[in-house]
Amino acid sequence: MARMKFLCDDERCIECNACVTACKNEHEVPWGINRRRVVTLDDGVPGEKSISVACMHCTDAPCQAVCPVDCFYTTDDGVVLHDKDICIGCGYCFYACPFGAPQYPQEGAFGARGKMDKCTFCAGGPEEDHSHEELDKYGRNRLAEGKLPLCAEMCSTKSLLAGDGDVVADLFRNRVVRREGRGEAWGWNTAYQDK
Amino acid sequence: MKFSTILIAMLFLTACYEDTDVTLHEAGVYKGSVDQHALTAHERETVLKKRFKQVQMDR
Amino acid sequence: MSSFGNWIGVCKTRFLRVLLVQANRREGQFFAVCVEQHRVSGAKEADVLKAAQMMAEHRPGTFIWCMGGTQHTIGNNNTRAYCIFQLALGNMGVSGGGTNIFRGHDNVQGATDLGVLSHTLPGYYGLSEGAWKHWSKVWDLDYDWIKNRFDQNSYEKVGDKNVGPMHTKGIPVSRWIDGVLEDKDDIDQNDTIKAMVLWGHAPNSQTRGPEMKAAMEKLELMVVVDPYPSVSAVMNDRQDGLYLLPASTQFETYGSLSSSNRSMQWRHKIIDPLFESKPDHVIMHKFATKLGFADQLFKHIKVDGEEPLIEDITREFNSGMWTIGYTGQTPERMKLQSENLHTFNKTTLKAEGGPCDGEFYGLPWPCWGTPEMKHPGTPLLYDTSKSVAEGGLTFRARFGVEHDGENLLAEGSFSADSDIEDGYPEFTGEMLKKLGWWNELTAAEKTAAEGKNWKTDLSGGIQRVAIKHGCAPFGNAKARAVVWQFPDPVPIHREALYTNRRDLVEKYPTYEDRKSFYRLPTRYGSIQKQDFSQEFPLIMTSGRLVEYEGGGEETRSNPWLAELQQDMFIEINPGDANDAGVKHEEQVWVDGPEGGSIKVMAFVTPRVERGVVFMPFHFGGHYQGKDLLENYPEGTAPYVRGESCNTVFTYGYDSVTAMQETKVSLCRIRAV
Repeated sequence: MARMKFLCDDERCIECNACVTACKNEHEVPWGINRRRVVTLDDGVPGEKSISVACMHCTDAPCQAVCPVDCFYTTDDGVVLHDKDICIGCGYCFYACPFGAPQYPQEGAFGARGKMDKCTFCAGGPEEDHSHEELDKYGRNRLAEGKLPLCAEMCSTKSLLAGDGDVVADLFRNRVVRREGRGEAWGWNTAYQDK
Repeated sequence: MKFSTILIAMLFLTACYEDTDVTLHEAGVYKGSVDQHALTAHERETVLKKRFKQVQMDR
Repeated sequence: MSSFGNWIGVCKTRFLRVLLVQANRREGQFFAVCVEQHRVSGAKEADVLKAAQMMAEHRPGTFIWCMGGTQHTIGNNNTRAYCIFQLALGNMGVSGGGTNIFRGHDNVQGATDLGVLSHTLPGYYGLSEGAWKHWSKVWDLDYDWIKNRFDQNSYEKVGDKNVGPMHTKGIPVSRWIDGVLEDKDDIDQNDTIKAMVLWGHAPNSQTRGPEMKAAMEKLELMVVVDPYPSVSAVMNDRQDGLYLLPASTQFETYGSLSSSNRSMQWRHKIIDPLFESKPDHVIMHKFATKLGFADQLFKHIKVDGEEPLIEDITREFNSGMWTIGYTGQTPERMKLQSENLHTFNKTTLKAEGGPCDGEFYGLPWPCWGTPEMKHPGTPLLYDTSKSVAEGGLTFRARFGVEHDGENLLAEGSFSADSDIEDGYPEFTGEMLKKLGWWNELTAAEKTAAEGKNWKTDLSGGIQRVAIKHGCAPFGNAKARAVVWQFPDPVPIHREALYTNRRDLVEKYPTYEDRKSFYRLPTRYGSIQKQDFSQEFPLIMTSGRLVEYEGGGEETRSNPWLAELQQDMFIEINPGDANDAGVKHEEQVWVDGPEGGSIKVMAFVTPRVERGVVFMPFHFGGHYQGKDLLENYPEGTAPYVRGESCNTVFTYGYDSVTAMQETKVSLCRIRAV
C-alpha cells in the first residue's frame, strides 16, 4: 500500500513561497495560521539554505500518541488527520511535534486556543468527501479528486515533492546520482570562495 | 397557589436538563467521525502514481 | 578564432565593465581584458574571471538581465555590452544561447510592440511622415485629418528643418513630472502637461516622490484607471479633479498578449467584470465617444454596445505591423494553439502533428507575411541554420548598406536555403524587379507593392516572395558592436549621478547636461559634479521581492502575500547599522539627497555589504512617516502599507531611453 510522504530538496528550494501561497489559497487558511512555511537558515550568508516544512505525516505520529482525547487517525495511505469536533485545543500535539505543524487560531476573549489546524496532505478530513463541511473545516480534498498536494504541484523548482514515498524516493535518488551528490548551484562554492 | 408554585419550580428545573450526547474518551480509541472515501486506498494509489508522473517528474 | 581577432579590431575595445575571455585552445592562452572592473564595481577579480571562463568553456550559454542592467544613466551601454559579449562568444542565434531579458509583466513586450511609448507608432515604425502615412492607410483614415489633430507649430529642428510635435519624440513616463513642473518655455511643446491619465500605472515605481506629489497637485485633471485605487489616489492632497475609474482585471476580460520571448497567447475571460469595473477596451471606447473620435478609432472594429471586438482590433494590427512580423498571429491561429496546447513538444516548443503541426508555440514574432502563409513563428533570433520559412532568420539590414566605407551587409553568411548566398539589403518592390522575382507576385500584390517596401506593402507580397526564395524581408547584414548614432558608440562606463566614488567621477564622468531630450531639459554633469557623499555616505539600491509585484497595491491587497511581507524595510549591513545606532527591526529614517525622507524598518543583515543598502520598491500608502490609510476609499486600502522607496530615489535618466536610474543613488540612515 502506498504511504504518502513529502520531500523538500533543499538544493533546489529558492524560498519563493509558492508552496505557502498555494496552500493558503487552496484551503483559505486564515491570517496567522501557517500550515506550510519555508524556513531559511543562514539568511544572506554563504551557505544559505531554504526548506519548505509542513506536517510530515509521520508513520508513528507523536501528535497522535500524546493527544489526550485521541482525535487523530491515520488513513490507509498514511496521511495523519484529526477530527476538529473532538479536538479540545489543549496544544499538547504542538509540544510533541518536532516540526511545529499544529497551528491554533487566536480566538475568544481570553486568547482561548481554538481547534488545532494543520496540513492535511490535501486529504480533507473526517467529513464526507467534497462536502461543504469538509471544505469549511479542513480545506480542499485533492486526494479524493485524484490529485496530489497543491504545494508540491505548484513548486517552481520541483524541490518540494509529495506522493507515494517509494516514488518520491526513486525520483530523488535519480536526481542525486545525476548531480553527483553536490549542490546544483554551480558557483556557490566559488562565488563565496569556499573552495 | 400551590399549583403555580409547582409550575414555577418545574420551569426552573428545566435548567437542569443535561445532554447525554457526550463522547466518553477511552484511552487509545479514536471516537471521531469516520472518514468516508469514494475510492479504495488501492485505487487511490494507482491514480496518484499516475498524477505524480504527470506533474512532478523532472522533465 | 581569427574572426574574433578581426572583430576586436573593429570594436576598438575600450570597455571596462565586462570581462572578455577568449579561450584559445590551440595556443593555450587566455586573454583577460579588464582588471579595472574590480576597482569600479567591487566584484572580485577571481569571480569575474571564473564567470567569463565558464561562459567561454561551456557554450552555448545564455545571458539574462532585467532592470539591474537597464536602470542606470548608462543602461544602454550595459545592454549593448551584454550583447557584444554573446556575439564574441558565438552564442547568438543558437539554441541555448542568446540574450534573454525578463520583462516585468506578462504583456510589457506586447505594450512596447504596440507602441505604448512616446517615440513611435505601433511596430516601431517611428514617427516620420512615412510612418504616419502607413498607419493612416492601415486605419483607413485621412492622413490630413490625423495631421490636423496635432499642434502645427514647431519647437524642434532636425538638421535645419523645423519639425512639429507629430514627428518628435514625446515626454516618456519616467519624465512626466518634469513635463508638469518645468517652465513652459523650456519644453519642446506648446505648454506644460495639464492632465494625466494614469492607466494601470504605479506612481510609486517612479523616482522623485516629493516632486511627483507636487506635479500631481499642479495638474488640472488627474484620472486613474486601475482595478485598485493605486498610490496615485492617496499620495497627493488634491481636493478636486481626481477621478478613479475602476478597471477590470485580466480574469474579467480577454485578448492576446506578448511575453518576454516574443510569443503570443490568447487569454480567455473567466468571470464577468465585478461590481462596476469595466475592461480597458470598453473604457477606451467610452473615452473616444465622449471626446468625439470613436468613429475614427473604431472605423473597422465591430462594437457590441460599448464593447469593441478584440478580434477585430487584433486583425487590424495584423494588417499593419509588418516590421516585426505581427501579421501572422490572427485570433484564429492563437486560439487554435490555445486549444491544442498538448500537441506542442515541451522542449522544442514545436507542435508535433495535430492542427498546429509545425508551428512554434506562441507564433513568436516575426511571424512573417499574411496569415494564409502560415509562417510558424521565429523562436530564436537570429538562427541561420534554419530557413526563414521554418523560423530561421538573418540579422536585419537596418543601419544602411555601408558606413565610413565599410560594407555593413553580411559577407559569406546567410540562412539555410537562401537563394542569395550573401548579404542583401531590405526588400523593396524595386529590388524584386531587379532580382527578376517581380512577376511571382499576384496582380493584386503587384498593385499594393508598387513603389513600396517590405514594411509598407499591405498585401504582404514582397515578404511572401522574399521568403519563398529563402530570404529575410528585412535584409541580411552584420550585427554591429559600434553604434555610431548613440552618445557612446562603444559601450563605456560612466559613474552614476549620485556616487560616493569621487575618484571614479574624475576618470569616468557622466554626460553633459542636455537642453532638449524627449522634449525636456535633462541634467547629468551638473548633478554629478556636486559631492553629496559626505552627508549621504551610503550607496542605495532598489529592487524586487518575490511576494509583491510592481507598485504593490494589488499584491499587498492579497491576504496570502501580504502576510508574508508585512513591513517595508531597508537591508543594512551590521557594520553600518551599528555605526548609525540602529538595531534589527527598529524603525529608521532614510534621507535622500534631493530632500525626501522615509520611515522604514531596519533589516540588519550581512546580505548587503558594508556601505550598501537595499530597499524593495513595492510598498506604498505611507508618506514621509504618515500612514495614508484615511485617504483610501472605504474598503480599498491594502492589508499592508508602507513607505515607497522612490520617495527618496533621485534624478537620473539613461542617455538613450530615459529609463530612470533606480539601481544606484546615495542616502543616509538615522535612528528614530
